Amino acid sequence: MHKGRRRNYGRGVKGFYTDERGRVRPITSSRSFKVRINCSPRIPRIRIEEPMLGTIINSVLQQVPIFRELQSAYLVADAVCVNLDLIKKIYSSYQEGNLKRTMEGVGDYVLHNVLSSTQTNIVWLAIKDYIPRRYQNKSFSILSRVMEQVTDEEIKYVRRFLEQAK
Amino acid sequence: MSEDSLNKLNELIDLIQKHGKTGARLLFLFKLLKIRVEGEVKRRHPNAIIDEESLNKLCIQIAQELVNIGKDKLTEEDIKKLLSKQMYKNEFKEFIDKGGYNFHE
Repeated sequence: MHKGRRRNYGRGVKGFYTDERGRVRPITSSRSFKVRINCSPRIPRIRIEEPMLGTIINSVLQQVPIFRELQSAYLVADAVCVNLDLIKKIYSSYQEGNLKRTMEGVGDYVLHNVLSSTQTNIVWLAIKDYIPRRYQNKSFSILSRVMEQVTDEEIKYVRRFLEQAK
Repeated sequence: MSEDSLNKLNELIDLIQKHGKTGARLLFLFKLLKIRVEGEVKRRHPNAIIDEESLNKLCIQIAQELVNIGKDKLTEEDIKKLLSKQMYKNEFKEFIDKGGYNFHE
């Protein structure tokens, strides 16, 4: 029936079947939907500058855990100062011994992570006893965050600031 | 990158040797504030670009005030004092930006 004639069924025809009266009927596909991709409107990138940053800093300073964090950071800084000689000693012996061997055959990224955490551990080893027990967890997390994320540039920035302030 | 991390502790030691407790406190408070502010900015505006220079400036100023206020031990009172000072400063700045007192009205 459908051999020579081409009929338009309105929808795509998947196949044919014969109904109970013996008519050949098309099996049409279910209604086709156009896929609409809902793109969210492009969000412009905002540049956050001083007045807005000031407001954000205020809201950060108002958050309750920041009190404890700042206090812990203060304690860590003091402990690092007091134990500086010990830190230097541990660090130099570590550098002489393991570091050169560690560096061979280790990828840059892995090495960075290993060294960052090693540095944190070296400092922590030296200052741990100096910090009151109730501050220890917080202090360790602050020390590791600061040691891992601080950059040379930031240390230099602080140094420049202090030198200018003199 | 690896050299960076190798030098970091040396840099830190140098800073502390030169500037003592003030240097260490300033660095730790500065970096902690910076991390927290960056986190807050990302939470509020995930797409935003932070002006690094302004952020550094603000964070180091606050860190220095904390170091000055805190002296030997930083208490909650010190932080609250700083906060009220900071709020006052911002409100005052906003007021000045809006034109201050208008005597000609």
